[in-house]
Amino acid sequence: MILLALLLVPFAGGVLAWAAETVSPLAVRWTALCAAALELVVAAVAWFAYPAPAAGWPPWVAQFQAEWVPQLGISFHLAADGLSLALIALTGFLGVAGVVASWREITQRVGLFHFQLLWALAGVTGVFLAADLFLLYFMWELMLVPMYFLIALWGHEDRRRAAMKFFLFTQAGGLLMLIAIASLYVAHGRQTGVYTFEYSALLGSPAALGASVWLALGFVAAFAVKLPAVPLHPWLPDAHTQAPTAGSIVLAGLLLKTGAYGFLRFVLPLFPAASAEIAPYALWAGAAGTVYGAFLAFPQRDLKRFVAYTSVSHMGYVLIGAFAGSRLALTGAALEMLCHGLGTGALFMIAGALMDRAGTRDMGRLGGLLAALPRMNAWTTAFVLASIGLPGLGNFVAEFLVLAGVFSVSPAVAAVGAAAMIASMVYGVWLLYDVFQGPAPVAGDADASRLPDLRGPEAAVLAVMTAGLVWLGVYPQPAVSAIEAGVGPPDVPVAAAPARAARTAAERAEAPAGVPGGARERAPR
Amino acid sequence: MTAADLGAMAPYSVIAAAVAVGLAALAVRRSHAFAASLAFAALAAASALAALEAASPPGRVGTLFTLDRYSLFFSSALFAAAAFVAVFAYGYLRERTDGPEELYLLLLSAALGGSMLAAASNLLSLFLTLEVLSVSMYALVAYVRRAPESLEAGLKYLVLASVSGAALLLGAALVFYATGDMRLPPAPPVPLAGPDALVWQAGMLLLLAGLGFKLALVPFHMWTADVYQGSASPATAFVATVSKGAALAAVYRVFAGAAGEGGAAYVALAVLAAASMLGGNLLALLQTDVKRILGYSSVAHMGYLLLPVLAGGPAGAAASGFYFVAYAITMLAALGVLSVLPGGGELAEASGIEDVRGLFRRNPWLAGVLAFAMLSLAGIPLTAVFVGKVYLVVAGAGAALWGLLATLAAGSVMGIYYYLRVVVALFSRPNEAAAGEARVLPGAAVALAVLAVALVWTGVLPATLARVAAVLGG
Repeated sequence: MILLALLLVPFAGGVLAWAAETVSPLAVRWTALCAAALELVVAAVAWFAYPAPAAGWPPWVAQFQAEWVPQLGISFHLAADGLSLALIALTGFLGVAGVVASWREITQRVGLFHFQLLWALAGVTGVFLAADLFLLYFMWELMLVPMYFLIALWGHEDRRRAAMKFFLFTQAGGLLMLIAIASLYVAHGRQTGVYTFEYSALLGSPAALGASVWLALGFVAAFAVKLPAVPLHPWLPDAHTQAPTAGSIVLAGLLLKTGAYGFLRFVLPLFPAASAEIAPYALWAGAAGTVYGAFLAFPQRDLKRFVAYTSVSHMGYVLIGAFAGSRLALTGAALEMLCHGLGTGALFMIAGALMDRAGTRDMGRLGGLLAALPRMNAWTTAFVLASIGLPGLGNFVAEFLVLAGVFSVSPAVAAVGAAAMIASMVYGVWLLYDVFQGPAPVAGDADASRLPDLRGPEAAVLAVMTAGLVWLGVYPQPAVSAIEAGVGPPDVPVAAAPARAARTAAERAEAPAGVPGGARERAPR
Repeated sequence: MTAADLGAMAPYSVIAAAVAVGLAALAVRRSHAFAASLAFAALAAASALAALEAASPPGRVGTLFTLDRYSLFFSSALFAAAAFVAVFAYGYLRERTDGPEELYLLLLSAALGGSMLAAASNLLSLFLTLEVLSVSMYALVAYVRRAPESLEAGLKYLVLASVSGAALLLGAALVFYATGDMRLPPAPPVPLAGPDALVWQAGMLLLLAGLGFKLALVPFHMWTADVYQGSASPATAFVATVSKGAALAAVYRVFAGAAGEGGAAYVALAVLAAASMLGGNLLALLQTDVKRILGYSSVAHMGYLLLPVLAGGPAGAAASGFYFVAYAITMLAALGVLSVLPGGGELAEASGIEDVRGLFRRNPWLAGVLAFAMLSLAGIPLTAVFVGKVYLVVAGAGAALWGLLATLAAGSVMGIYYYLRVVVALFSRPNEAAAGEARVLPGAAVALAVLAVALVWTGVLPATLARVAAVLGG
């Protein structure tokens, strides 16, 4: 039941927030803030109320199931483990951040805006809770629509095009996933006589284990677009740049995570054999993403575009971690999701606040703001340091785990990933110099010294985010043990069979079945 | 025909009787309200009767018709759709034309032809019912005769529909020549070789062409946007739901499974489906009028609806039934809203994207229904067509129609572009030159509310419709 509450809070909150517009815009903001905060609280309660995971895999701590469309074998099945609850807590928190960031920025159609914001959060929550593939697709598509309107109606100068690009990319991926889901459903039904979309029934089903790579690729298409994996990323810089601040926070902090979650929860466990075949390509796509994102961040003069490209880089690590085939790397990938959600959410919040004050996102026209905005400078420094992987902050732990995990599989990928971290230091320092610590531009159009610094609520949210990153960086063990059991396929050992994923497909075909350990054991034949 | 057969035909007899009563009443006294309520009552009763009868379908009735679950399901849905059209037509015609009473008689006879077309199981009855539908529609499309667009639409429809009728008739003749059998689905000649088989294949292709005109499949789609735009919105709603649904049921009856994989008709169906999915969506991308968008998008949706025909079997029957009802609810809602929007002039309609810009500020309820309808057509969750699309993909995956499924995905992505353009316009800043307040009669308001609830209900709790759809193939 508590999972149902997790889903209902943002849905109902959105409707209430819209209705509150008849009272005043302030009522809308407070309603939305309370709904998002409540989501966070309920997620925490769900975790602490059910401390012992159920037997079996995934280690659900809570479930909710109701009949939905029995004619098609669809049930309304929600289930959560540590990973889902951590991500839902992140959802609630970034919801709070989004409402706070919109407090001054959004003045038009306030009720509708917060309705869309909360429904986007609801869709994301639904994806994190779905234990039925139809429900997954339902929620997957549901979160797109409010996101589209957030960008298209409240975004910046080129909003329509960016919103449309975002929708078309994600919709194409989603439809391929639908075809894959339907094929899996039919194949499972033919082989077992039971037609069902139930996740736990399809997990380990002969149809899924023997499924061709094409079937897995249908899922991969949807998740890789969302993640995004290079070269499916072109929607991301536009969407992040044009979205209003809250939209950017939700996009970067949460929507990208649904792609990563999809890999960890669905692709790897459902299709172990196919995943192993895809792994070499995915690893290199991830490595390419880390470098590509970092290098494209260099020349950006638009602050939000800059942060968007760093996201491409960070999500490259998640992709590497997901397909490295070791529990170490999988845990790193899951941790990176949380850290990136906090860190990039914060950077977008700062970018929004800066734009609100200086009236521009152009880093060429910003500069020398250290004197005027000392507090903002301090927080920005903290999050930039997190982003470039400073030890003691969460990203370092996550990226280290990923690289350590992938090293045994493919040293080359690990080397490329590590090299990208160097690039990230350069762009990080560059950002700080350009915006805050360097000289002011000669032709500054506003009197920079009059700009108001961060407001209390903004600073409070950023402080919590920093605390989270420090906690994940200094003492990550509680978080690791909460999410570790639920990531990836159940039978990846802590030290995975070395070099499995790096082998070529031809070698694998000749190799005798039953390579000890790893996903191959579950394959038929 | 036995007495039992007559009883089985009760849903259809009600409509035929209503036409006679309406005609007689016109001779006594012209009353718009009476004509409209008679049509509505008869259609609602017929829909209910057909739904009741579907619980224990009588099967073949005489030699001409088959009343199985599938045909009764479609008949019930088509009568219901026509009843909604009658409600929208009342408010629409009150504003725009004198002498509106005959429209309801045409509506009744067209609905009768359409629903019997769905039940036709003989080449003879197929042609007969199709002509009843077509001839009524000629006048229906051109009914607001003082509007030049309406007349143009009527003329276009007349020419193309008579061509398609001729093609169908020739096809029926060839099939009969090849096999000496008029029953549907047409059994192929044995052995399937030699000149007879060739004639049979040609006949099947002509049958497909004839019905393809009604469905506006590419390349028989030329009339669709002009007729959608030119007709009065209620008439457009009729074309989009009743006429399409009847032809779809007929296509299912003639071609599902019977065409045989690899046969000329099977290949042609697949090609037409793919061409319609892509062509309809591509053409819709270029439109700036909501009714033209709906016209071309209907081409694409009929292409999607050929997937279950090709798939066949219980999954195919369920998918085509579910998707059609979801689509019909959506189209009725969309065109219902357009029919109550005030136009610029006396006869004009406000159906351009620019006309509906900012509608949400002026009339949030109407804008909300139209937005939901557009999102439904785009296949967005919480709406009916979303679930329908899942049905289609499941049926397609069951029959391993990978090429068509990929085309469906590509077509749906294109569709997003123009559906969302309309929705964004609804929520944008209003135009200066926007027309006055919409006057929504209570009947139309209730009808729109019912449709909106059905649209969301089917999207959120699809089990209600799924339960009915599940037994269509049995």
